[in-house]
Formats: sequence, C-alpha cells, structure tokens
Amino acid sequence: MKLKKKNTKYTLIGCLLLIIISSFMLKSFLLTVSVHKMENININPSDALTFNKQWVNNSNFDSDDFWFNETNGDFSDVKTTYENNEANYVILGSEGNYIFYEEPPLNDGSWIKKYNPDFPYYPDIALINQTGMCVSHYWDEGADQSVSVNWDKNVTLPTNISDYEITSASIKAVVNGSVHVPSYQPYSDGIEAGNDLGTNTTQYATGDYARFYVLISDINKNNVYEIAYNQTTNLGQDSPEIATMGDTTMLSISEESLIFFLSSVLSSDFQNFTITLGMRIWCEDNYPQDSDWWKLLVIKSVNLTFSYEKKIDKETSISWNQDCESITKDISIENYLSFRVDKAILNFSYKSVPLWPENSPNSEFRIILNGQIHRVKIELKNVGESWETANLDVAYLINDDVNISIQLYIADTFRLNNIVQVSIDNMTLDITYTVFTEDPKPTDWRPIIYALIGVIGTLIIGFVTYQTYFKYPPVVRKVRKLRKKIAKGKTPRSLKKIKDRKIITKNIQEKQIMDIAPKENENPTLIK
Amino acid sequence: MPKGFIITKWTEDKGLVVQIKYPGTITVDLDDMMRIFYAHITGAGEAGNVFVRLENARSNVSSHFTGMESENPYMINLMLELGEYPEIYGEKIIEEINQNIVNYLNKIDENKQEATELVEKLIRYIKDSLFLLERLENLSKEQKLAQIYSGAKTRTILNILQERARSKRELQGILEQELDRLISNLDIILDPFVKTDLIRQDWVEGSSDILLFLKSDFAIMRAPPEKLVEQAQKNNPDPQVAQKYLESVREFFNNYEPNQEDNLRIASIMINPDIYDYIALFRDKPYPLKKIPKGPGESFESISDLMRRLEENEIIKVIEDKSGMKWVFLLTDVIAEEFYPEYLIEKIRQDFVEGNLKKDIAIKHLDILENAYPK
Repeated sequence: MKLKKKNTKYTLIGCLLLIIISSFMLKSFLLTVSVHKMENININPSDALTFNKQWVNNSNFDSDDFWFNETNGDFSDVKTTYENNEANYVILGSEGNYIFYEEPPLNDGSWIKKYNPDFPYYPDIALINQTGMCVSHYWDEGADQSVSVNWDKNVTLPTNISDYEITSASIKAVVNGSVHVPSYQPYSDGIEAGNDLGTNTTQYATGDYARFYVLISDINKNNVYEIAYNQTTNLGQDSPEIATMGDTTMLSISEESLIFFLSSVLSSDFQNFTITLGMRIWCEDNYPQDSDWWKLLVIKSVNLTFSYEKKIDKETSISWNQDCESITKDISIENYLSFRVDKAILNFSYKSVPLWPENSPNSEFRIILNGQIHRVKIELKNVGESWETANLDVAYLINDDVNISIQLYIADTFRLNNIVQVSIDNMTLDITYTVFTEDPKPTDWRPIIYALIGVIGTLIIGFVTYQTYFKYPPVVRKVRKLRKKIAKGKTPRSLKKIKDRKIITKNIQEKQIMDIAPKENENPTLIK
Repeated sequence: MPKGFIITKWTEDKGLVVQIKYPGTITVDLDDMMRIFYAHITGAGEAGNVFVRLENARSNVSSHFTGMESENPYMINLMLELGEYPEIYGEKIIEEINQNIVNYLNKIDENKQEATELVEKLIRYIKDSLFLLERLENLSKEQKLAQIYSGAKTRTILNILQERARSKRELQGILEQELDRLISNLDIILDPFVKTDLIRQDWVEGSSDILLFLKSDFAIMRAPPEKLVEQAQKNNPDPQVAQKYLESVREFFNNYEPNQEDNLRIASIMINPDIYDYIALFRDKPYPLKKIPKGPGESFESISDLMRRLEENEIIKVIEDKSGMKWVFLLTDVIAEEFYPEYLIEKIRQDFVEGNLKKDIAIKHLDILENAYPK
C-alpha cells in the first residue's frame, strides 16, 4: 500500500514537470506570435501589416513647436516669422532716396575749397557767400590765364546702400555770371567770345569762356565723374552785347549715366561720397595786349537727388523644417523584417501678400524631403493672395527618415521696395506603409513547429523516463538496476535501504498494532 | 477426494484383520492390505507412515502403522484416489486424525463394555474427518499459507528458498539432509507453494534442472481484530464490555512477541476449517456465547470444546457484561500476511558477488522479482 502511494507520488511529480515544461513552451509560442495593437491596423491575408498615419507634428502651426528654420544666402534679404497660426517667409524689400539740395551752397565750412588738379591756379576771388559760390578774375597777360577752383563736400547717406540698387537720379545746378564786354587793343578788359572772332580780335581759337561743373567722386577720389556742367560760349560778346548770363541750369548727363556714376562712387564706401562744385576760367590771348575781366561768376544752387531699392540676392533661400519620426521608429512590432511606403501625400496651404514681384519670375517653393527636392515646384509668381493648397505625392522621397523642408528659393536677383510675406499653413503628411514582420509568406509556422517539437520531445523524454524509471516503485528500480549491473558483469555495490526479512515482518506487525491505539475520547491504556 | 478409511489390525492368530471400514461400500482387497503391511514392516517394523500406490484398487493409500511393538498393532489406511497424495491435506492434519483414531481404538480395546458406543463414535469421527479432508481441498489462500507454515517439509522448503533460488534436485537434497528422511514426492510437497503463487518454477539456460524461485513471502502472526476494535472504540456492544475488551486486546499486544511455537499453534488452528470458520465469524462482531451459530450436525458440546480450545490459545476472549451475559470476542485474529521479499535483492547481490549464484540465475530471479512486485 505504502509502495503504491510512493509510486503514485513519483508519477504525479513526473506529470507536473511535464506540465510545467509544456506551459513554458506554450507561453513562449504565444509571445512569439502576438502582435501589438496599433491605431489603424489592418492585417492582410498575407500577414503583412498596413499602417496609415499623419506624420507632421503641429501641422496647424498652433505654435512653432517642432519646427525650425534654415536660411541660406543673404540673411538680410529674408526672415521667418510666426504669427496668427501661420508660418511666414518674409522677403525684406525696402526703398529710400537721397536729396542733396543747397541754394545757395551753404557757407558753413562744409565746403572745402580746393585746387582743380588740372588747373592749379585759383581765380583772383573765389568764395562762398549768400549769393552762392562766387568767382571773379582779371587777367592781363599774366600767368593766371587758366584758373579754376573746386569746392568739395563729403556727404553721408542715411543708409548703407551696399545691398541696394539706385533706381533713379537727377542733378540740377543753377549758375549765372557777368563780365566786361568791350574788346579792343590794348587792354580793353573785355571778354572775347561769341562772334567776336574775326571782328574785334586778331587771334581767336576758342574765345574766352568759363566752365561751371558738378563732380561726384568717391572719398578717395579714385573715380571722379562730371555729372553736370555749363561752359559759356558767348558771354562777353560785343555785338550784340552779352554782358551777363542769367540763372542758367547746367547741362546734366543722362539719368542712366548718373545712376551708373553714383553707383560707382558708392561702390567702395556704400554710404559716403564727395560732391564737388567748381568753375574754370580760360582767358584766351586774343591780342598782343589783351586783358579779360570776369566780373562775377556764381554757382547759385545745386540739387542732386537719387532713389534706391533693396536688392534681393539670387540663391537666397529660407525654409520651415521639421524632422519627423522615422518610420522604423514608428514600427513597434517585434521582429519585423522590412517595410514599404505605399503612399505619402503632403498637403499644405500657401499664399503671398502682396503678390510676388514680377521681376523675380523664377523664384519658387521647393519641397524637400530627406534632402531631395521634389520634382514638382510651386512658382511664386503664380501664388495668389488667397490660400491655395498643394497636394503632392512624396512617397518616392521617403525611405525611412521623414525630414520635411518647405523652402522658399529666390532664383533671381531683383530689386524689391516693399516687404513681401509668403505664408504656409495646415501642413499634413499622410503616410501609408506596410510592414512585413518576418517574411511576406502567409504564415511563419516555425514557432509552432519548434514549440510542437519541444512539447513532443518533452513528452517523449517524459514518457521514456516514466516508462524506464518513474513508472517503477523504488524497490523495483533497485531490482532493475542490480539486474543491469549483473548483466553487464559489473560488481554491484551493497544495496542500502533494503529491509531484511525480520524488519519487514516487524513492520507488518507494528502496523497491525497501531490500529488499536487509544482514541482521544478513550482513557489511556497500557499501549507501548 | 479421499475414498474412506480402512483400519486393520495385526493378530498373531488371524493375521491382518479389517477392524473398521468407512464408508461401508468401500471394497477391501486383503492382498492390497498385505502389500501395505509389508511396506510398513519391511526393516524394523516400527511405527510410521507409508504411502503406497495400489494398482489393482486404482488407489493411493496413506497408511499409518502403530508398530509391531505396540500392544495392538493397528494400520490406519486413508484410501485416496489414484493421483491423490496425503500432502495436499497437510502433514499435520493426517497426523492428528491418525492419532485420534488410534486413541479411539485404544479406548475400545481397553473398555470392551462400551465398545459399541465407542465404535460408533469412532465411525462418526472418521466420517467427520473425511468431511474435514474434503474441505481441506478447498482451503483459502490464507489457510494454504498456514498449511505451508505448519508442515515441517514445507516450512523447511520455505526457509531454504528464502536464502536463494535452488534447483529441485538441490532442494530435495537439502530437505532430506535437514529433515533426515527421504523425500520421494517433492512435486506434491511443492503443490501449496505453486497454488499460493509463492514460487515460480523456471528453467535457465545452461541449467540441467528446473529452478525454484521464491517470488513472494508471508508471515504468520496474530493481529488485533480490526472491526471489533473499531466497534469497541465506539462502545459496542456495551461500554463496559467494550472497555474490558479493548483493555484485553491492548494488554495482549503490549506483551506479544511472535515466535515460532506460537506461530505453529495459530497455523494449526488456521488450517482447521471448522475452527477457521468460527474465527472468520468472530472477525465481524462479538457474539453472546449462547447465540454462536452452529453448523449442521454440530452439538453444543463440540462448540464448547472448540471455544475452549480457542480461548486456551488466546484466540478468543469471553467477557461477561453487567447482566451476566457472556460475550465471545475475537481477542487475536490470526493472519498469514503476504509480502514482497525485498530482502532477496540484497541476498542475490551478495550471493552473486561471493560466487554462490550464477549470473543467469541471478538475472532470472531479479526478472521474476520485478514482475512479482504488487501492482
């Protein structure tokens, strides 16, 4: 009876071990085939898993979180702003103008009297007063036959116009003068000019004349340009007598040339240049004893005006960027093998206020994903002032990373006198992708097969172990073990725990007597 | 099945005379009787037992002779079927019957006035004995085990096989040596071993004889009567009586040490079908002495004798209750508890290591022991 109980106990232990091992294997199998739940999950018959997800964070620009900017080219031309839940590209156009107007030129010391380097003799009198810049000169066969005077004034523009372009310019200078007219020998002091040739003169080539002029130059006077002048031709003519020249506007160069010269003198120092007002007097020796009297020559006023506009440089770009989560990071399925992007649609709204300037027809929006420019570009010249929506398939640009950049690219150098703001909003990127967990095969039976092999193996081992060992009571195991040893010719060692006959019979007897032990409700008796 | 008894007496003047035969229909061939007689008197003519096969009578005879030296040389012949052997009833029973018959005969010889009555009693006894022998053919396994234990030959065989497996020839040799007498019918002696499945006879390659392997063992002992103790612990049949009974049982078993003498006593009781029936009866519940069931033909006296014998042997205990009623309790149950001979494993190992046991025999015995383990 006792032996039977032991036998049952070992059988139960064996079964329990089998159940435990099998349970572990079954659990392992269930873990292997389990799939995490995800949003929008579809399980295809092929066992591939398809996901659809909007990828852009903060797509409505509720803040500027997740977004960052990048600028290339001229940083002064562009900037980004974020306002009204919109992301903006701001093109920093601007304009300005400069007016230099003095009537009469101020006698405040700002004008510096200087020699004309080509004619380094001052006239007898050269000064600035309330009339203007005044010159008077008398020549009587002396060395001062050709005299000149310049007044320089350095001017500073309110703006550094290095990144600007002069768009319009004008120069206006008013002069007048009076001379002694009669021409005769000797020493009449009259000016020989106009049709005095051949009549009252014996020698005549150019006649006597005075030349008023306006120069502009860079501060270092490396480039000096005459932008207006007036050279008398008949002032001092005897008949009809022309003794005075009323207020006369100097002849100016063309506006185009003036812009060019202004740009030139401002090309080294973009804010400072020099204006020079000057007069030169030529006293031709018309007689053997000739004298010329230039009574008063005046530069009465000068007005130099020009306008400039911001120059926007070509190849300047600015972008709103977001580095989204990569697709592999988004995949939370264990042991996935690969994935495939089935579809990726980028949507966003855009507008331009005011309309994009026509003088930059080639500028555009560039949609860049993972550093690659999308083949479709949005030309800014076609962008209206109302919201429009772009809808682009960008799947071919996505491998794993999803780094979005919406770049405004300036393809032309152009002038812009006002601010243009291009805005984007409501950016979404809907990606549909398929994940292959192991193999596109319908089902991977390996875990099941391994688990079954494990279970069957365990059962076989358990069965064999049971059949060859645990099935037998301990005494029978000893019999079998001894028989095996004897069969192999080995010398078996003494068997412990084998009861001899006396002990067996004694045990039987004791067991019989145990049954008569007093119960709790009985009086104790003489039991040993 | 025994045919009957034929009792003959040797007289100087008349020779061999049939004294009593039972049943009356049994035929007696004097030539056969003479053959038996000659078997007895060949040699010293001492008292003893012989077994004779009578071809003409188609009978086997188990015969007991009181000896030529006795005052009245009687020959008590138990007539058996051809093929039947006295050993199947156990040595003890036949001996006991023979002795009782001899006692009756001696009384008859000594008391001629009551001879008729005594003869009737003897015939009744013979009749009962034949009935007993018939019943002995259908003993329970427990009784068969007791029978093995009670017989000298069988007990010796058991002891020999408890040491190691033996061939029949070896066993016979050892048996004759130990008992100091010839053993002619070993197979018959082994019969109860085979019937009780204690041994297995098998042949091992390379061996010239059949080998005998002990595959189960048993112990004769007294045990507390389980049911009665249980009832007494519930104060049945009466608290006072129950308490007395429990005290008696506990007292007995506190001092009980099994020994061969006691074991032989209880074995002889067990193999007696009449007694054994009462023991089986008393196992279930105590009986008032007056209400003990009687078997057919049994008298109150015979039951009283039987009860007395059981009480003397401390098998039963008579306890009187308050009202004076005598209750018969089974004080000690007699059992033959069979068990697996685990001890043989170490003996086999030891004998093999010491070279006393051949490898093939050791393996065969271990095979048998493996299969013999109780499922």
